[in-house]
Order: sequence, then C-alpha cells, then structure tokens
Amino acid sequence: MKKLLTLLMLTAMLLGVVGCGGSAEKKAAYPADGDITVIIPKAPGGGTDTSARGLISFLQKELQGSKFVPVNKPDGGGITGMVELSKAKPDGHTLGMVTVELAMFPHQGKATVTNKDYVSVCAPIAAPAALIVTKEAPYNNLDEFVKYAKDNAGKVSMGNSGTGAIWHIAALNFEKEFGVKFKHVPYPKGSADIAAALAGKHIEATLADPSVFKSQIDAGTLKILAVMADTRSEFYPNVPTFKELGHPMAIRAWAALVAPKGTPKEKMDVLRKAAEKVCNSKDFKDYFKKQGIDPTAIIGDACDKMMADDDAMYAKFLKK
Amino acid sequence: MVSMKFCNFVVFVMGMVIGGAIMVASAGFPMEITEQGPGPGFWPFLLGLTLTFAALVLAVYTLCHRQEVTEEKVILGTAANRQVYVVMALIVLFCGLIHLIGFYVAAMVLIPCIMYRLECRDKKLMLFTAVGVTLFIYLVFGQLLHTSLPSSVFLE
Amino acid sequence: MADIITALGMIADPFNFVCLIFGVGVGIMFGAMPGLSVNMGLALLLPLAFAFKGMAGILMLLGIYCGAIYGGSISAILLKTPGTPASVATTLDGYPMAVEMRQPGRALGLSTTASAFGGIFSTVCLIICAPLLARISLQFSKPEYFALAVFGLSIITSVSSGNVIKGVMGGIIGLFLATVGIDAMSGAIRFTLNTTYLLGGVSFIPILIGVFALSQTLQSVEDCWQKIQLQQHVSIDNVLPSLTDLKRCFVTMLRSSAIGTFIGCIPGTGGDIASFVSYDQAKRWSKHSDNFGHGEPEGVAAPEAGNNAVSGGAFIPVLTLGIPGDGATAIMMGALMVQGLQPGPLLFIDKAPDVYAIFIGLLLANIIMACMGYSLIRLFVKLTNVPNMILLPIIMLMTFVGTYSYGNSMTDVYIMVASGILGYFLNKLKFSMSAVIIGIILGGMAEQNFVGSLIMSDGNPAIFFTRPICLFFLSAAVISLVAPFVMKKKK
Repeated sequence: MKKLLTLLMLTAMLLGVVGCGGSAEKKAAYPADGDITVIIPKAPGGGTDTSARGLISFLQKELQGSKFVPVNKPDGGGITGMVELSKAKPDGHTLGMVTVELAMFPHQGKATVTNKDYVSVCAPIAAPAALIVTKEAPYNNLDEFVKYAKDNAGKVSMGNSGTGAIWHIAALNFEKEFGVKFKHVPYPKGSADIAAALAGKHIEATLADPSVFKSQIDAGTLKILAVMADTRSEFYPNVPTFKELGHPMAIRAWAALVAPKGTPKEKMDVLRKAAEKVCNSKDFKDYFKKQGIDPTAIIGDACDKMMADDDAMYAKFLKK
Repeated sequence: MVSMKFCNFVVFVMGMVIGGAIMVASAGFPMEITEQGPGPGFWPFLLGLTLTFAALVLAVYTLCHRQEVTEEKVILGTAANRQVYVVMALIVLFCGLIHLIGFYVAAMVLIPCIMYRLECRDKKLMLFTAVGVTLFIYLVFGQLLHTSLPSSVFLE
Repeated sequence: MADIITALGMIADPFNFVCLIFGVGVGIMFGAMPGLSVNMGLALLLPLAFAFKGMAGILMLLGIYCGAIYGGSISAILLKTPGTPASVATTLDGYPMAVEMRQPGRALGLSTTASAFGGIFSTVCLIICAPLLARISLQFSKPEYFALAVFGLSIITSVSSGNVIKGVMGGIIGLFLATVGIDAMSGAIRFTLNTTYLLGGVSFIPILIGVFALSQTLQSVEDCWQKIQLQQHVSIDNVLPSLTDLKRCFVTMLRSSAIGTFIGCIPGTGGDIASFVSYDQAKRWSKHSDNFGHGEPEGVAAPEAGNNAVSGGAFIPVLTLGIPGDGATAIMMGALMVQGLQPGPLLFIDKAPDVYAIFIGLLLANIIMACMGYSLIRLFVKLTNVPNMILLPIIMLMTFVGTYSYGNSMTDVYIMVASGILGYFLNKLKFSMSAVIIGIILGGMAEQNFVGSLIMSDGNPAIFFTRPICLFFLSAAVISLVAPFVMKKKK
C-alpha cells in the first residue's frame, strides 16, 4: 500500500512539473507569450462583468495570439479582488478591472488600496449620473426640479443603489451644490430595482446611470432632465449637461482595465496602443451602444488622471 | 451515545451565548427608529433577542418532554462516527495539501486515501479513479472553463 | 398572424434550432453542478451569443436559462445537493424518494415533468396576460417585498421536519449571517471581524455546497460503515411518471406554476423564493401533508414547477417594461439589445416577429429540456449504482472544485469545509439546514425592505398595515405559521 502511494505521488509530481515546464516553451513576444489573467472583482453577469468581457474579447482580437482569461472574484464586495490585483506580479500577465469604488472606499474606511497602486490601460465605460424623474412630475428641467425640491425640503424621494455607494454620493453632492434636501431611499439590489420603483411611482427621482432606464425613457414613462458629464449623451442629445447649466459636476461610474503598479512600460504601451485602436473602432462602439451604454475611449495617462481626479474629489467630499 | 436531552442543553447554552453576543454586538450600532428608518443595529438586535427567546423555549420544551428526549439518542461515538472524523481530518489536511503541492496533485492523493478508508483495497481501481477524475476536472474546469485551480506555493 | 409565421420560420432555421438544443444541454449541465450558476453559464456564453447573427444567440441563452433551473434538481434528487439555490426545496422530498424509497427514476421523472409544466404554464401566461401581470408587479414596493420575504420565511416551520424550535433557531442564524458586511441601507460595516472577506457578506454558495453536499457525503460515509447499503442496484420501471402520480400532483403543479409565474414577474425575486413558497403551499393544501419530507411526490413536483415557472414570469417585466425580473434575465436583456431588440413597451409594436420568436423559443426550450431530461434519467440512475467507495471521494473532490469555480477563492473553500463539518453535527442534532439556508437567502430581502419601508414612511410602521398587497402577504404568513398548531389542537 505504501509503495503504491509513493509511486502515485511521484508520478503526480512529475506530471505537475512537466506541465509547468511545457508552458514555458512558447517564447513569443508579449502579449502572446502566455495567458493574461484579468481579475474582475464582481459576480458574473453584472454590468461591470459583461463590459469587461466585451472589452477583453475585442482586445484579444486586436492583439493576435494573446489569450485573456477573465476570472471573477466577487468576494469582499470586490475589494478582495482589487487587493489581490495590487499585490500580483507586475509582469503584464495579471490585469484587472477596478471601478469608481476604488476612489471612494479608501475614504470610507473600507479599503486600503487606492488608484496609486495601479497603472491603467483604458476605461471603456464611464457612466455619468443622470437626473431621471417620472413622466407625471411637475418639473421638466433642472431649475424647476431644484425649485420643487426647495419647496418640499426633505420630501422628494431620491432613489440610489445603496447608502455610501456612488449614486448616493452623487445625490449628496447635488444637495450640497444646490442647497436642497432629499429623502434618500436605497435600493441595494441595483439600478433595475430603481427603474421598477420609478415606473411604479414609488419614488420621485433618481441620480443614476441612464443606460438601465433607457427603454423606459424611450417609451416616455420616465423623463431625463440633465446629465453629469462633460459632453451631451449620444442617446439623449436634447438633454443638457450640468456643466452647460452652470454647475460643472461630473460624477461617473467608471470601470477601468488596470495593471499593478510597476508593470514595465513597454508592456503597458502595447496594451494601451491596442486599447486605443479598440476603443475607437466602430465595432466596439456599436457593441456598447446597442446595450444602451455610452462607450468612452479614455486611454492610458488620461485614465490615470481620471482615477486620480476622482480620488481627490471623493477625498475632499467624504472627509467631512 | 449521547442523549438528545444533553444535546438540547448544549444547544440551549449556545443559543443563549450566541443570542447574547449578537445583542451586545448590535448595541454598538445606532438603533433608534428615526426618520431615516431604523439604525443598522435594530434588526440584528431583534434577531439576537428572538434567538435567546427561542433557546429558552427549547429549554422549556426539553424539560417538559424529559422522558422522550432522554430516550432519543444522538449517535456520535460509534465506530462508524470515528471513520467520519477520520475522513473530516483528511479533508482538512487536503486543504493544506492544496497549498503545498497544488490542487491536481493533492486530488490524486486524496482520492485513494478516502477510497482506502471506505474499505476499497483494489489498487487498480484506486489508481484508475484518481487519474480519471483528476483528468476530467483538468479538461472540463481547467481547460474548458478556464478555472485556474490553485497550484503549489513552491511553483509560484 | 403573419408575424407568428415569420417567428416559426426563424425557429425552424436549423442553425437556430441547434443553438437552442445546445443551450438547453449546457444549461442542464451548469444547473446540475453545484458552484456553477445560471449567471455564470450565461456570462460565459454571452460572447458566443453576440457573435451569432439573428435569433440564434438569444435562443441559446433561453435554452441555458430554462435548462439550468431544471438541472439543479438532478443533483438535488440524487445527491441531496441543490445544483442551484432554486433547487434547495427539491432536496426535501426528492432525495428521500430517491434513496429511502429507492425510486430515483420516479423522482427524476416527476421533476422533469413538473419543470416542463411550470415552464410552459408561465410562457402561456407571458403570452396571454403579460401586461396585466406587469401592472400588478408595478404595485410592489418595499413593504410588499418585505411581506413577501416574511411569507417566504414562514415556510421554515414546514421545512423543519425535526424540531420546529430548532428550525426557527436555524432560520435566525441564517438571517443573522445575512446581515454581515456593509449594510446597504445605512452604509455601516457590520460584524465583519475586521476582515476584508466578510465586507462583501457571508458567501452563500460555499455554505450551500458545504452544508448540503459535504455534510451529506460525510453522513454517507457513516452509513457506509454501518453497512446500510441504500443505493443498491435500483431498477428503472418507467421514465415517465405514472398516471396515479400525475393525478396526485396535477393540482399541485398548477398551483405552484401560478406561484412561480407571479413571483417571477416581480423584479428582484427568483426561483429560490418561488420554490420555497410552492413547496410550503403544497404541503399546507395537500391531503398527504404528513408524508412531506419522506418522499412525497407532491413535494418533488411543487418546487420544480415553481422554480421553472419563474422563467416565463421573469420575462414579463422584461418585455413589457424593460426591467429585468431576475439576474439571469438582466443578462439576457443585454443580448436582446445587441440584436437590436429594445426590451420595453415599444417592443411589441416595433418587433412583433422577434417577440413571438422568444415566446416560441421558451416553449420549445421547455419541451427540449423535458425530452433531454427523460432520455438522461436512465443514465443518471445508473450513476447512483456506482459503489459508494468510488462515488463519495469524487463528490468530495467536486465540492472543492465547484466552490472554487464560484469565486476563485480558497477562503470560500475553507468556509465550505467548515460548513460541511458543522452541518454534519447540526444534522445529527436534528437542526434543519434548509432553515438556515432560507434565512440566508431571504435575510437581506427581509431586512432591507423593512428598513426601506420605514424610510419611505418617515419611520411610521403603519405603512405595513395600510397597503393591501403587503397586508395580504403578512396575514398569509401569520396564518401559515399558526395553522399547524391550530390543526393539531383540533385533532
């Protein structure tokens, strides 16, 4: 019995070593010289996950011979995945997605990693907060809404995706900017629940990513009053931005493909160049547009800057 | 063989302890019902309270049905149980082994060990099962689904 | 009429049809394997769906969706391990029928029939009365969700076949575990013991796998040593359920399908709640309620009809309002949009043939699922004849693989092992593990909607008693809890 076990273990170890040695044979150029793991700190099927998988499949097509392997790590609210990414070997074979929560969590005491632990490739989505209200509401633009909110201080119910989450912070920012007070109603399961609540007229307004509400807005059951972005949305060209109306607020829920800090510049350049091509290609844009998402092409240093800017903004806002 | 009465008593004590601990821990959070709804400590406190109450009800029930509860036995100490404990130990060891020698290798070790404990003495069968199952997992989960099962810490 | 013919033409296209069959097959496999979820299967095959032109990709996803909900029952019945959370209730009678009564074929046959029945019933409801049901579902706000959660929790008393008090204690533990992590209603961080892992809450699937699969395997090891050969050369008489069984279960299947369709069309609720409520209601209205938990056919048919009925129901808000009914439909909405189908009130007007194609696709998916199920029953039962000394180590290994596939985390695996060992002892003490799981599943829904309702009413608890739907479910919950004691007194 003992002999057989020893024999088994030896065979197994041999196989293991051979297997590892075998994969080192391919000496192609980066990124084709091995699998690239992409850590997605969210559960499969969610918004971040599908966008990430979409981006990866386009990148894979662009970078011939490369293999991107998405790995979901939803534990710890996504923080475990982000921490693991920051500690990974910076050899260009481990990438990951980070979301705007990265800019918020450190200032809420929830995480220790910040944007400084990563270098970014690109951000394919950066959904702006949009003010969406019910069709029957007596206000049709931002000013009327603000006036109504001031007249009904503390009564206008504003839906968000969770206290302390991005859309709640957006609403708090709104309160500060315009001097109004809302009743915040959290819908922790996500924006789909907010859409249902608005459609059922259980709440009056929300500041959230408009893509989830698109079918309702198109059918006329909901109205979109303004968008917190620098430029108007392609889907709603008649809707003004907060900036145009004199309030330069830009709160976006972005997701970015990043690598751990210290990844060599040449490899980052390869990825960034490919990302630039991909994010500006028609197919990529169509893929997202058809899902009602406004794709962005924030590449490389611009992406780093966005992450840093948001981090500074939330630091100021949350360290009250 | 332990009687159910004793076990119920243990459960009662644990229920009180856990319920009490929950209540104490929740008291650390704001609990009043304000205009913003109840504080985060309210619901857990309620749960802790109900658990403690349920434990008390269990104690009362056990005392009321003393006779049948003493007769009811909980099987924890027979030879069969000991085998289960050995298998549990093997599984825990397996967790550690995964870190040391990687998942696939550890799996090939675990399968024959458990089969041996289940009175299998057919060496060929053990080898065949171990290799077959590990290969299946490698093909389906490793290659097809790209689940990268942990490899040995020494190989990192 | 012309639209329907166009739709039929789309389905008749061989490539589309093959995609549908492929989807159902993949779905059943993902459903049967604990740790692999419907959402995972959909997310993995989504790129493929995008690549296919026309309805092929959508049909494939529909197949996965229907197949996965059914697939969970296979491992639930044969191994007492729910392949998906929606099959937890199926273990209660499915496993006893398979193992104690030595009729795994009968259990699988009933489950397949009930699943197909539920799926087809809900698709018919989708076709006929979607707008009506959608209007009702819009009435649901936080108080109604809370009441529904309470109603779901009241089934803990049905499910604790051992001791009701211990069942309640188990349920409370489950509810408490659901509070660990970041409280989404207040932003506070609760009970995380300062670890990052617990910030996201107690991982539910590892506990499910541990408490069902691993502890059952440990129990089987013990039984093996006691020379209790429970799975010894079981023969299959008939794959299709007998006429007596069908007659016995028909009303149950009807009731459960209605429950499942209704719960499916409420956004944010899914197969798990539907299967629990269906099981509970079947038990309360059945003439054979004492047999529940010991292999009662109604106990297998009810949860399976309920959870598959969610598939059609969940599409109601998708197609009428553009709001997903559950997580899987949210993924499919993305696929629909990429194909140019904008789910929502305008869809019926603009793209009628495609909508009909979805309807027909759902109907066919359920039929194909039934055919596959029936043809595979003999194979599955042969698997149960595999000697335990080979089967048990394999199952143990698969619990590890399944748990790791879920979140790629060894911490999950440790939790799974701990739950399994704890579950073994708790089962001995006559605790009901299902009660704990129900608590974990419904805990979040119950607390968040309780707190949310009070936010909406500015702290006034009257909100629960002034809304008719909410009051209805709360009363139903109370009646459900009290009735067994009243009935006992009458006896």
